[in-house]
Amino acid sequence: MSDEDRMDALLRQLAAEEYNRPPEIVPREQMWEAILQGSGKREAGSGGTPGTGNREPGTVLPFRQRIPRWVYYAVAAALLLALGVQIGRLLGPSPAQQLAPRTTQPDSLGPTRVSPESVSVGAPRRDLVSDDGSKGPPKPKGSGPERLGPDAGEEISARAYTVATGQHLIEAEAMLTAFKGDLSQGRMDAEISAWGKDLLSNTRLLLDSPAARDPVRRRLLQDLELVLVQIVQLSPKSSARDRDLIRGALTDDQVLTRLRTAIPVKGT
Amino acid sequence: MLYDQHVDRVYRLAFRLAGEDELARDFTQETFIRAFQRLKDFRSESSFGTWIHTIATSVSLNGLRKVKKFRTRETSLDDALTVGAVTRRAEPDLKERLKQAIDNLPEGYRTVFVMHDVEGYTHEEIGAALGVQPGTSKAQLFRARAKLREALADFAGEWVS
Repeated sequence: MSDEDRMDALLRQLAAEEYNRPPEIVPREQMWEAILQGSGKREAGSGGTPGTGNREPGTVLPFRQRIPRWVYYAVAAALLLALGVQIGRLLGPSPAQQLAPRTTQPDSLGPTRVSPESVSVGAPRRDLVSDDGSKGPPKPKGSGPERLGPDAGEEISARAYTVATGQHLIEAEAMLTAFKGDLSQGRMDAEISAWGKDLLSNTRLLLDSPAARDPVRRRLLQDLELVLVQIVQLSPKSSARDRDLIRGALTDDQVLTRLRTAIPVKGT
Repeated sequence: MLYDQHVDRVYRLAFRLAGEDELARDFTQETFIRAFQRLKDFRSESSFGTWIHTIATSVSLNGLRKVKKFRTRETSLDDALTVGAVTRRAEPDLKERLKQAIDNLPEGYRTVFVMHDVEGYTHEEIGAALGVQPGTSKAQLFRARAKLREALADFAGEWVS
């Protein structure tokens, strides 16, 4: 063994004996009590206690430790949900769009066929009144967001009635045109009378259906019904006065013109 | 129990490093408080003893650094060497000079010296506790011993003989 080794051994021995020599008895209990009183009481209790029992009764934990962890999770989940709802509101349709009634604008009553003549002769631009009663040009079809909400079925039903009404008006316009020709020639075709009966029954059905919710359309159907009743009651034996009444109804009420206006343009 | 199994050794190491009972208690308590708080994070890749000594070493060294900021040293190592060179005292003076020499070692050297030569930790345990390789621990111990021999060189003939 060299001198250095011997000196190292002596230093080691001397240091072990003298350098910061700890007491023979380790103050376990005192330190454990201090640990229990420290901020790590809960964890210390779960880690095993040296015979001194778990947490002292009546000790007050810090506020953060008194709140169960699930409360933090619940608050975080609620905040996340609220954030998601807020984002959804920001990205979704505006409240104005949500509150706006869905357009039930019948295609057949669109303004595309409104002629200056019809406007000038007394149809006070009622054609331009939309289903919801608001004036002004109707909104273009499909301009709003297409949504399938709880009212989707009702909207589909309204469109079906619109189509049926359009078909009925086309047929009525054809029948009235034919009848007007016969009327000018002073004759009465029996087939036209039968045709009128069918149209009359359909007109009454439409008047009792959602198709008549639109006031413009309802008035048109009512006028059409009146004319059809007169036509159905007309017979070859009817007087010239009866024919003049029908002619006056067609002319004064602009029934035929309004029919043509209300008939949807093909392809729309 | 975990506390009973490890508290003595942790306290002894803390006392050796701190040199005061009060500081040693504080470091030991802080060590176990942290250990129990992080017990769920403990992985059985290493033994609990190694893990808690890692905490103990960290707590003690950090605590001592804070303490040293508020204390002034009464005697520097150079002063001690000067005194020792002038007069040769009896063994009580040697003990005091040895203490001063160890206290004045760089922190890494002193820690390794205390853990290995004083408390008997292996280099593997020291490496795990300090987060260094065992070879690093050996090298630091070698240098620590060399510095101590140098600091106490005037006593060498007396001790070796």
